[in-house]
Amino acid sequence: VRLAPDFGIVGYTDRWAYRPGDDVQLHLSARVAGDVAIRLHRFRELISVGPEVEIITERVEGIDLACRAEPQRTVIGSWFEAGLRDVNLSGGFTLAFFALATTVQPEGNGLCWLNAGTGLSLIVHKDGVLSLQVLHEGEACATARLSGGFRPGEWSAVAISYDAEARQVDLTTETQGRARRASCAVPRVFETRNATLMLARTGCNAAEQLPMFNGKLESPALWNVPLPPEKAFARLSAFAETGAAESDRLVGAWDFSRRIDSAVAEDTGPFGLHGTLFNIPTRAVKGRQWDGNEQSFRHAPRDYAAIHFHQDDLADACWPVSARLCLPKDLNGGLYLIEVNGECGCDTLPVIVRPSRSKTSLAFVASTFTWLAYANDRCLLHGNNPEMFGNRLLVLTAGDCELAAHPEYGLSLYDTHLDGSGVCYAGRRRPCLTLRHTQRAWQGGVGSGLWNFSADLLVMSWLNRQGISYDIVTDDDLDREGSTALASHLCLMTGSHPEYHSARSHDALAAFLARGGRLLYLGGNGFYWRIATHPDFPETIELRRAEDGNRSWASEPGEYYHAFDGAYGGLWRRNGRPPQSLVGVGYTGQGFYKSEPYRLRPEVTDPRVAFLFDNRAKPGTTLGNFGLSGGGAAGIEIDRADPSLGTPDHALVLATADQLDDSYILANEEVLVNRPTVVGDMSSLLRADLVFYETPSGGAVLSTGSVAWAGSLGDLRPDNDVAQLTQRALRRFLDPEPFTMPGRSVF
Amino acid sequence: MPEKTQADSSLPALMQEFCEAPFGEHSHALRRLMLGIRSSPACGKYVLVEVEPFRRWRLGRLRDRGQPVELLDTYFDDLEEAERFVFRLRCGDLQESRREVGA
Repeated sequence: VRLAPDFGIVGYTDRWAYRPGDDVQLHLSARVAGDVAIRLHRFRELISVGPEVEIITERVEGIDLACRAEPQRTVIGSWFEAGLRDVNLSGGFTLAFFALATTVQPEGNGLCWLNAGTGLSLIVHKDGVLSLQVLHEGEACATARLSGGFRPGEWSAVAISYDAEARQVDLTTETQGRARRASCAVPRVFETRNATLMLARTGCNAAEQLPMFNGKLESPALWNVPLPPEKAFARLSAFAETGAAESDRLVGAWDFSRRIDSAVAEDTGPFGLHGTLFNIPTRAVKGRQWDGNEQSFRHAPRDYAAIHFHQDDLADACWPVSARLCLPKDLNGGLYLIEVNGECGCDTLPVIVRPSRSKTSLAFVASTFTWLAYANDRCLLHGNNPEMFGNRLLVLTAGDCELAAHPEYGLSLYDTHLDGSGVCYAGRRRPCLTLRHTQRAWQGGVGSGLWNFSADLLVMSWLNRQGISYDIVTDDDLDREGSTALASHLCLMTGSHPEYHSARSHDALAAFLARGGRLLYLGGNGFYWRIATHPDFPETIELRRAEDGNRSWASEPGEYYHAFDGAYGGLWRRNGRPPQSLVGVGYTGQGFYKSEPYRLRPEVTDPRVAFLFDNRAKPGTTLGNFGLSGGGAAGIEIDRADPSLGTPDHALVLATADQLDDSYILANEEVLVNRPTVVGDMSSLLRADLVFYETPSGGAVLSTGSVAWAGSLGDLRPDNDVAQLTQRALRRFLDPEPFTMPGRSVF
Repeated sequence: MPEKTQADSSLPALMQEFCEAPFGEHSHALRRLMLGIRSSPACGKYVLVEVEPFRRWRLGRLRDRGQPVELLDTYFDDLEEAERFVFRLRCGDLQESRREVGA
């Protein structure tokens, strides 16, 4: 495949979508330092050539760049950091906090670091062992070791107390009422006035750094006096329970229940030494006081005064900018590929360009939230299920192999952290190797394997082949601008899988339809999960896999509410917005092996849809008996119409695919009691429905309810009935003539 | 769809059925066997690694989290042949483990 990355050089851009005239920041890492040539290509088509796929692009001349790419190191893992400016610790101090460790690495995990001339480093080891090292100029000069300091999965109180007169530091823990203590001499005093306190990590440089801490921390506080353990723990408990720390000699008391929607750890002490949270540890998580009486941090902040840190959290790889590609001001809107080619390899980074001023009435809604949710999906590397779901051997691409070798590129919203907890946050400022035109996956079914971003390229390819003008509007645009992002558009077209939406992007689509807009939903499993964005976390989304739905992990009880916006997360269906109420169909099941054709229903003869079939449709005949995604137009992830979930009464179910093989399984939100009839053709709910309806405001919706539709649309055969139907629908949907609601219910 | 029946559900018979049509419609007994085999934990699982997309694959095994894929010295030009090869490997492991349990 042309422009296929070999990942000898790997890169990311600061965003995924730009305007003409914007600078694209390129962050590059090379296996070996060397020169790199950068070229811009306009995407035209991804086409099938026999059993293979090939890409057609056009070079954008005149903006080539050259730069140097160096090997980059990625700091992965989240931590807390606060600068203790003008604080004198030389007389002694006491640091106390609650901790619950989850997974511990053989080499240990960094738990705390206090750099005050002389440094203190607290490390958690296997079997509940803690070690406290006193360091001078990076060398350990004394160590206290505490056995049984922690118990796996249990909260412990931790106090580190330094007595300058005695030149001694004590480490004390208390777990389930039992205290343990270890001490060591401190050969040098803590003399600096500008210390840095870090939690969930040790060390400021690579040599000092262990993996970050896995587990929860709560209520860290620092007093400028050595305290005996019982007094330290009494002060710590009072702070955790009331949110107010003992003020006598207080330096800082960081209340993690405050400003949960930010990366700030607010200091309630006298000096306002607010901490910063790096790489977005999970907030809005249960603390040690949670008892199940409340489920939201907004209702019981003290119950949520903890933060869950992970050694594999990653929000921003923080690689330096290698080059800035200035997009010409007269650049046409569309999808572009940035070719990065150097001595040790190549990468190809897609970016969307939205025109400065829209000149067309069609918009393709790029599923940038869904692409991000799946970014660096490692389920095939870590999970037991993919080969079983795919019903065939897993085939790893170069991107998959690169991900396996580079855990520091971070996880997807489908993965679990090393300690088994679910990944709630996904960010774009890191290598996202699944966002490539060469992406193929087990989820794509037999055939091309195109999936997600690359399957969506088939829809854009079809539009380009037809010579149809369109803007690309992203989920992020809808989230940021609401329906004004669609002000000039009459018709929207989705990709294969618009699964994730925020409240604002969902509202924008609903508002667009309410004002007479037309929507071609050419996918499956759309509008399924609720996610949140936040201005403090650019290019990042939050997800809670709450309560129900097909989930690769489940949120902990009591952790169903987003930290970013406080909203109840999970399925849109559980938030009162089933997909059927937006687009007429909603997720009903999945299989990742073969797809099937639809079979036309008698409704195709209704004059209301004559424009779709040129009056030649015969009920009972097939539609889409071919395709690049499993060999049929209906499959992979599929949706059904259901009036009880919001499909309008007047909607026409034009075609159905319900003769599915046993690799298809009914969605578990449809299952109250497990039973063996949830597979294949045994469940009447397990089907893909092709649905059309008019809206009261003169608009209309056509929903295919199938991820595999794009795979058939991308098939180049001349008698492609899927492409013909799509084309007829689009032609009518772009006609400003209002649709008329039928006078009777026909469902 | 019609259910394919398999009168002989012994492992050799199921191996023969699979190898005749790795991507075909399989009997209930073979489907159950395959679901079990394919649900095994990721670490140690046989996978195919693309050498030339759509044309050539190399046998590999997944390692633990954070570890590169182990590349083995077996190559395939055909996905059905790869399925057969891995199926035989796995059935050999299965027979071995059954022998150990029996012993």
